Amino acid sequence: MDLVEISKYIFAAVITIYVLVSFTGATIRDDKKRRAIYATQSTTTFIFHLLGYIILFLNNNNDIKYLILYCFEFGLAFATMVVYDVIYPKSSKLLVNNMIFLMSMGYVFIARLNFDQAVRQFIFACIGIGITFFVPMIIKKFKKMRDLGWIYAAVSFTLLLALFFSSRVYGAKINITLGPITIQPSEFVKILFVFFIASMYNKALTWKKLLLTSIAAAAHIVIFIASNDLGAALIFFVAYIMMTFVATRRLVLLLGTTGLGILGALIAAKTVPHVIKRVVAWRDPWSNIYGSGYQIAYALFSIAAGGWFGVGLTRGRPDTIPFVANDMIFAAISEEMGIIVAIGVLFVSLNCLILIMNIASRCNTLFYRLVAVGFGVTYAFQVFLTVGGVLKIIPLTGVTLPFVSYGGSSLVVSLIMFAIINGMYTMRQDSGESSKPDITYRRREPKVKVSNKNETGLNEDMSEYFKKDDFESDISKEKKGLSSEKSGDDRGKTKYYSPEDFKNIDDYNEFDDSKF
Amino acid sequence: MKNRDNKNIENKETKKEKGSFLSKPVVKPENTRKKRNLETNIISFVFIGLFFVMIIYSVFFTSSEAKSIADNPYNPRNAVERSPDVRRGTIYANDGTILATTSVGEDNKEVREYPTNNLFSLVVGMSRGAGSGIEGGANKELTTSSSKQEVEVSGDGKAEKEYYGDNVYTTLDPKLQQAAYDALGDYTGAVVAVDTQTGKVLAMVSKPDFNPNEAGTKYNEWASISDENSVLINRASQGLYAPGSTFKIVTALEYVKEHPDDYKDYSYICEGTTSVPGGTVVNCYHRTAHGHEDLNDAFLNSCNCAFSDIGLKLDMERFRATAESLGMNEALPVEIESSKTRFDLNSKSSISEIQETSFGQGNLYMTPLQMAMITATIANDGIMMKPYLIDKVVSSTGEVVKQNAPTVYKNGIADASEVAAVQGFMKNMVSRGAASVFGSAGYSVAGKTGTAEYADNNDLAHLWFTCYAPANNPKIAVTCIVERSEVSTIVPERICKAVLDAYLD
Repeated sequence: MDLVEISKYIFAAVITIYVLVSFTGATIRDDKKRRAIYATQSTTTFIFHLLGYIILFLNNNNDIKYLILYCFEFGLAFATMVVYDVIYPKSSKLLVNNMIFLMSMGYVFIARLNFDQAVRQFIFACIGIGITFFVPMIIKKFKKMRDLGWIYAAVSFTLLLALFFSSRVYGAKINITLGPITIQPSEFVKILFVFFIASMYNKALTWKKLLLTSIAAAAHIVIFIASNDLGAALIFFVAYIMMTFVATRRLVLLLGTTGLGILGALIAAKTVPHVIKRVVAWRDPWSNIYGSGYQIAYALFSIAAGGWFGVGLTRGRPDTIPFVANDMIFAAISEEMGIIVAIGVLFVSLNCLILIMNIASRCNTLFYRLVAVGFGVTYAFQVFLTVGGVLKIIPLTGVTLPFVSYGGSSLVVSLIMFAIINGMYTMRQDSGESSKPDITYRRREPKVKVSNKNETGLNEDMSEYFKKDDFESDISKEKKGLSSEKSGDDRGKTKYYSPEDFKNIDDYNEFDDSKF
Repeated sequence: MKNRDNKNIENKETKKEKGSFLSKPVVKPENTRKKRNLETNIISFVFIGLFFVMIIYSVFFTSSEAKSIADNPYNPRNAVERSPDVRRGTIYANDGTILATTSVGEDNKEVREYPTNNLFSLVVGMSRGAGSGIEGGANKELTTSSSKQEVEVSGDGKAEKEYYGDNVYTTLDPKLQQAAYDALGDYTGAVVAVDTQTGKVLAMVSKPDFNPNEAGTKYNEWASISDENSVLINRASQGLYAPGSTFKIVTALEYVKEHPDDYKDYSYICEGTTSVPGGTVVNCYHRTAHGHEDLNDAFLNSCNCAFSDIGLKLDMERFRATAESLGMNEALPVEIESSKTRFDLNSKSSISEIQETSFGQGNLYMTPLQMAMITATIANDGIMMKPYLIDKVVSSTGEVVKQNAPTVYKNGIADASEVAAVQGFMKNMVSRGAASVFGSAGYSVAGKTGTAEYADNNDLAHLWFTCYAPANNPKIAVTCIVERSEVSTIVPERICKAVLDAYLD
């Protein structure tokens, strides 16, 4: 057995350990044990990355450029950890480690497929991490962010429409080409879109506002369908319905909008030509294997060749798949490292989603909670679209696997989104909940923060629950005069009541709902 | 906003009832803090569900689906990984004519050349991907070097070891292929000729076709042509057509098998149209009333009314067994792509299904190659030989690596005497029915015509003719289909005659 053959089993073992540690780690409270978990994650990431590059080096006539790139990437991973330690001292280390793990995996595969692309990916990673440096500063200093509302929508619309009528590449996505780099604005619009919806829902939410926001969201989606960026259309739609669900807390709205979405998708699958084409290619790629079914058929050949442990890094033929480094990298991973490693990637992605949802559940500001939900859903649904597409569970939509796939815009935007989430995590920890584990599967809070119902009007209930947080909002300032002294005291810190405290309070019913 | 807030506080208790629709808050105030986590938990669970669908499907795919997908002939791994250092062997016709060969151009790049251009395009196929036609079916042989004879690589680049691949000799006869190719002309359709005694495929033409030498520039254009006019489908072995009246050969054989002693007593009075309770209305061509007929007359007149009546007199399970013993409901085991034919009748079939199938319509699909093999089986006294296209594989130094011999594919189909009855019908069919075409031939022919309905168009149909010759000492079976042709022409008969002339005269 040579190194490549042995490495297959090492990769599978390393990712298995990583996944097990990530999921158990999230439930552990003890600081010492958690440090051990972070160390295990870093070590396994290091082994994975280094072993990958050693194989690439040995299989490319000992070309030293692979080792040089490795050193740069290792340096950046180290720098990322330092940046997060310094700028986001209380960031979710599990989330940061997941991000670095996925990026390391992406580096290995992009370098294996095309060295020049790997260099570009590294440069974009530097840009992304660089921006990450400033994100918390922006969040802290620029608190008006949550009130901009329609300004976000106006900017994203202008951007999209301007581009819709200009150049297109491969008849699909909207691109801007600036010299050597091609930017995909749909990636950046994701951030604007999530901010738009979060700020619309942030203030007291009325049916009218909900309706107007929904129309604006629908308009975004229609532009994406028209420009054949079906992946973006679906991601924006799912982000919209999930954020609406969190803001309104109405399951019926979630089910209703999901139903409408499915209906819309079915109509599109029957009427819109480029959607029909993709559905046909999905249902039977084999009968038009040299036409529309080519990409998916060759991806399936690739996954099938890999089996459980893969054919070994550099030993497969993922290069036969068009756009393998962008849209089909999951197939390349499956072929050369096997489906076990590929499933490991899915588990790490799922771990990210659960971590983000937990961060969201602890954000006391509705705006930040919605942003976290929006970004988390955007991330996880994009993983579903690309992997589900490659596996032929759903039609191909041509989106990237965040952090892993080649693509500058995707990488930079993913890094910014995770930075914002981590920024918010840091802030919610400022409010004194830092000893909580990252994931609590069965959350039973011993104490409950309550509001005094007397001080609230119906329209203010939202703000009563969500504005009383770590930050001062304009609304809570407005309210100040109207609120009781107690409410004013509560602002800026979290106040807990024990169940016993409730016995004499008018709001007993409210407390009773929580079934303590 | 501020005013409304004030108002809300004042009218707190009545707001729920009196609030206007537009200002009604979406969120009810009763929500407790605990419920805050409910939404994010629901979202987490939705995604845990989605991710587990992917994970479980990945496991399912790898454990059960992967094998068959990996074996797909289009998978480039099957073509290239076997031996990348072998120079692909040459494909020859049965007289040594080169059909496909690899040469090295000035830039030291290998080029696959097809000296016969369009003539053998679909049957020989192309070496793209895992290849199609014989290029695909014999890919393993062509890329295996049994001789390990090295190629002298000249040039300034770094010398790479390369071996000569094995050469493949086919059963294809260029003279017959040319005759069939010319006779089919610009029609869309297919011609197949097989040796009745050995199962060797002597000619196989499908049109429209292509020049494989132009694949580099025109492949995408070819691939984009939709099914009906596709140039990349080998209609002879992959085209599935309703066999029309040619299938009456099988129905008649089954009737003779079930009535070995008294089939001559079969009698029917044709009025040009018929309907039976529970069945469909059956019309003869032009609703011609054929009058009183025995089985031979019904076959000669190609009488749909009589054959739907015959069908209803058959035992469906035995009919199905006979059809399947003639290779229906499977794909013929040839070295190139071949489609699975279809015969649906069973004991539960409806009356109308039985009627339609008995005269060659309904859920009945046939490839021209399959029809040629059925015809050859009748000619060969009821023994179906295995059809084959590769005669032998020879190494670059001339050693025979593999020699294919004729083998029986299906026997026990019917007794020789029963088959002889059908042979008689087919001889009479040609000597009386299609005499005008074959009158001048120096040999006798036995055959059957067929007209397969094409969609709802009454003016155009797929026209069949299948035959063997010489009638008394069969050597060759020829089947021809001409797609979407005007009804009541004798184009397929003429094409078959051209092929027979080339072989027998």
